Amino acid sequence: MPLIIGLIGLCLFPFFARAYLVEVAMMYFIYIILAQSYRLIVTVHDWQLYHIVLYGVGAYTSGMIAKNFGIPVFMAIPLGGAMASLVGVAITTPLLRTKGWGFYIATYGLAELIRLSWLKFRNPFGGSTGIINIPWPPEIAGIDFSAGIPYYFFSLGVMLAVLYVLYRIEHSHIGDSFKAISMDPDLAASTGINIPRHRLLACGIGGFFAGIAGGLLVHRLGAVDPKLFNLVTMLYLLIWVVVGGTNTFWGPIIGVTVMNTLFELSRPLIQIRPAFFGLSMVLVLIFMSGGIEGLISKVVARWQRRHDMPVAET
Amino acid sequence: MSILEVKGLSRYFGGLAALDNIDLTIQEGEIRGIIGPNGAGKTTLFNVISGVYRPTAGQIFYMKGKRIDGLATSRIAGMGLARTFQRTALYLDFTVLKNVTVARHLHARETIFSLLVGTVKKIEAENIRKALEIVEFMGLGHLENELAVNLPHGYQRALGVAIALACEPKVLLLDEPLTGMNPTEKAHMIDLIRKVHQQGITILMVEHDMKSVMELCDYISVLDFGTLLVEGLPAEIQSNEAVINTYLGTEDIASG
Repeated sequence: MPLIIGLIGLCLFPFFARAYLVEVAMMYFIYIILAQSYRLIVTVHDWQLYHIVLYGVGAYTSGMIAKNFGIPVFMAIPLGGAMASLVGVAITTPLLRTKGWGFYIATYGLAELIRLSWLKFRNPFGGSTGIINIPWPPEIAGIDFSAGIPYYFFSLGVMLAVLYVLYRIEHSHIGDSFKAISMDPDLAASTGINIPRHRLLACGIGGFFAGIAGGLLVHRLGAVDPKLFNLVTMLYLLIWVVVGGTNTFWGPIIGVTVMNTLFELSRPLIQIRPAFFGLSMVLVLIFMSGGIEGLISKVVARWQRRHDMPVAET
Repeated sequence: MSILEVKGLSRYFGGLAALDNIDLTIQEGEIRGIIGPNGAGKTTLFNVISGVYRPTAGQIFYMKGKRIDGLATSRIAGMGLARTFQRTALYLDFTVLKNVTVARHLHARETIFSLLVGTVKKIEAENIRKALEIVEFMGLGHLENELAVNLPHGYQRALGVAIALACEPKVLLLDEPLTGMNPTEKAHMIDLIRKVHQQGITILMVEHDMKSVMELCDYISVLDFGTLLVEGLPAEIQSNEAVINTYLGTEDIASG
């Protein structure tokens, strides 16, 4: 029920809000896809640091094939996703042998390798200025998708579809196997779960949707450059996911909503913003290990206990 | 007919021989006890058989001479050779039922495609039905929706066996199934092991509780410092000089 009200709200929103806020809302949708696809990988306990770069691979691929080869935008976006998925699997395959810190550092290293190649190779990636004049989405059935409100609904639809697919995966046997691997890898392997294959599967699916998010971004901005996908952006992604919480499906959505709203509201305090966000992540890690979502479920549980059994409290 | 055969198996950790030239032949349908003092290599033996470690030397044959040494753990489990752990290995945040359903991975033929087109429902229902059967069989039926973390120790150990049974094994390796249990829990677990055995599952069991080992096992192999000291029927082992000297010691055997 709250979901339906929320959906109606989201559908009415662009007709009442300022154009700027509609643009901001689109970024929320893109970030939610990004954070949610990252969480899928996190359920296997692979906190890799190249997710933002896969988002970039989707953006560059989709933008470049649409611009250079004239591929229709609505086809270029899933192709960008497929490319990001392939790159993710290709990066992860050799890293399956690394453990612990080695894994994180290697993921960061390979991510920088890809990002720097965008920066260094003017041809075809355009170097530090990136690529401009990326095609807008076309007009279909009289609706011009390059305009704000139609693109808002397009990205909302994509986000809902992605969330639906990820939700189904989360609540399937495959999703349970992912969690089993992160809880006890030895036990999981002893029951026949092929761990390397599941890690690759998670990063393939997660990479695909990160690429989709990149495609959505690039065809709205009409341009792309390497700065969008640097380590700072990766840290913001980590902050959304950690602050929101990763235990349930809703955590990253809450994380993006809360933190990105704070981000928007703190525009006047731009000098202290990075410090504020870094501090918020550290504090959440220390005092609220389940994230905001964990806090909410704790409060709800306490409230229920108080109302079910008024006597049996310590 | 032998179902599991270990030939000249060695495993070194650095210069230390955890297992040194072990030969074992397990007959189909038997309950084999593996005993020995701490550090004798019992758990290492299980880890090598189940594919956690590669053997340094030697071969392992399973079911009509298929070689399984060096295969990945998940492959070996897929061939019907399941194990439990010495530590209480469970998915603590899952319910009892989910602990078992997720362990039915090999039998849940699920792909991303079947998930999206929706044909997965039928497979899942079948999977849950089988898992429920196993949960009931292990005497956990009334607890199926309880989180594993909330179970008492005895039930947690039973759940560990249930997880292994979910792989529908032909051979089950039990690593100290009775560890840390009170007498009631022990008696219950021994009954369960017998019941599992009656399903036609061959059992290989490491255990320190001598009374229970003698009671349960058809045949016993004694390890000491990574070598096979002696093998025999429980009665032979109990009266064997070498075993008494290295392991059983004097009086504290009977008390277990």
